[in-house]
Amino acid sequence: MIFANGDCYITYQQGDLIDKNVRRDIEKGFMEKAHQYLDELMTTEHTLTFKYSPIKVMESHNTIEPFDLAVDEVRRFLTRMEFSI
Amino acid sequence: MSLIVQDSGLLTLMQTLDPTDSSAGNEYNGACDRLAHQLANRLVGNDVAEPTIEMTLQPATFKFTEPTIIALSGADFKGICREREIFTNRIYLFDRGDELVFESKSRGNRLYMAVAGGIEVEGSNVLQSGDEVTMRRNYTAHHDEIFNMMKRRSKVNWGVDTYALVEVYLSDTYHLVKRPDVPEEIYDALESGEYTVRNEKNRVALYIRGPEIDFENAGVEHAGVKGGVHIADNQPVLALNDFNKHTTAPQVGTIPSYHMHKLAQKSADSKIHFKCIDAADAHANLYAHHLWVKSLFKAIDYKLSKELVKEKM
Repeated sequence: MIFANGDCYITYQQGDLIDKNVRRDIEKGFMEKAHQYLDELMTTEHTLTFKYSPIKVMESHNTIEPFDLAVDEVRRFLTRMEFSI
Repeated sequence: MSLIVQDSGLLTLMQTLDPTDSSAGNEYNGACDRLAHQLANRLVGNDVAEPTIEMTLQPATFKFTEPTIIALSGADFKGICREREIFTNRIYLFDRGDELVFESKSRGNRLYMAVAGGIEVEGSNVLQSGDEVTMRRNYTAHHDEIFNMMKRRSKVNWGVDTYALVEVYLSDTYHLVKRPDVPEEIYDALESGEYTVRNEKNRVALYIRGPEIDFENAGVEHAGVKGGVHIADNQPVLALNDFNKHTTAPQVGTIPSYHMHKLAQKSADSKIHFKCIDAADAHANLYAHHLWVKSLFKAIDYKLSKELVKEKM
């Protein structure tokens, strides 16, 4: 499942362990490319958590609902990393 | 020349606004009370992201070695310098040899000191008695104008009024953004009771006590995010800036960023009431808070420019 973890984080969480090598590749992939709204990635055995700036999204798109735009970027990034959610 | 820490107080750090990498191995995980950090900087004409000195519970004592403009913000400590009372959210000029000590406080936990032109430290950002904080003197034309104005009166007779900040700091109600994997009964239980701050592990977590929360640990390893509310021994634990990178303590929600200022100012025996909300509501509140902060900063700029114009006439 993927959800808003507070106002500044988006978390993908699964019950099974995320493979250590997959986590490493995702972390590397995140560092290698610039992102529009995503500032930081934290990974654990079960989660991938992305930090973003909701105000930046709100002001760029004249909206007070930044989650959908930020989560789209998360999905695009994970698809590029060939990680299915 | 520098600012000398004569007595370091309980925990005094040079701190950045946002988490910042440090080649010297210092931990810059960001100011706990971001609003106070920015407010102090704005008052002295700095960029809001300039490092400040964050002091917890018992502030440090400082000696000034050259004319220095400062502003304090955050916990309501009263300072004393040569029998002059020093208040938060005002601008002051200190002269060479002046010593600033702090006495009582009426509320809050953390005090932030911004220095016009910026500061830096050579060694650890955890300041000890005898340490020197170097003045960066990154002065702009705006700083020069403030210096000229302050030379004639050493303080200005206006500041950010307590009433202006009441809305942000005085309520005991904390929003908690819900998670989809937590049953609604847990939120009902959290909302129904009053919690009391038991203690704070410095900048790491606030431990609170109140009605027990019976939430099964599913064994998920969570990322430690600022504002995360975890359950340990059936009681909520609130994550602050230096919280663990990951934890297996189940997470029931996250306190939104616009309520972290007042959380950083809670000390032992403070009360906490939770109000559980959805992320969409949190974002609407965040935007309202953002607009309020912008208008507060604009008001500071307006008052300051008015003083400077008066000075030139």
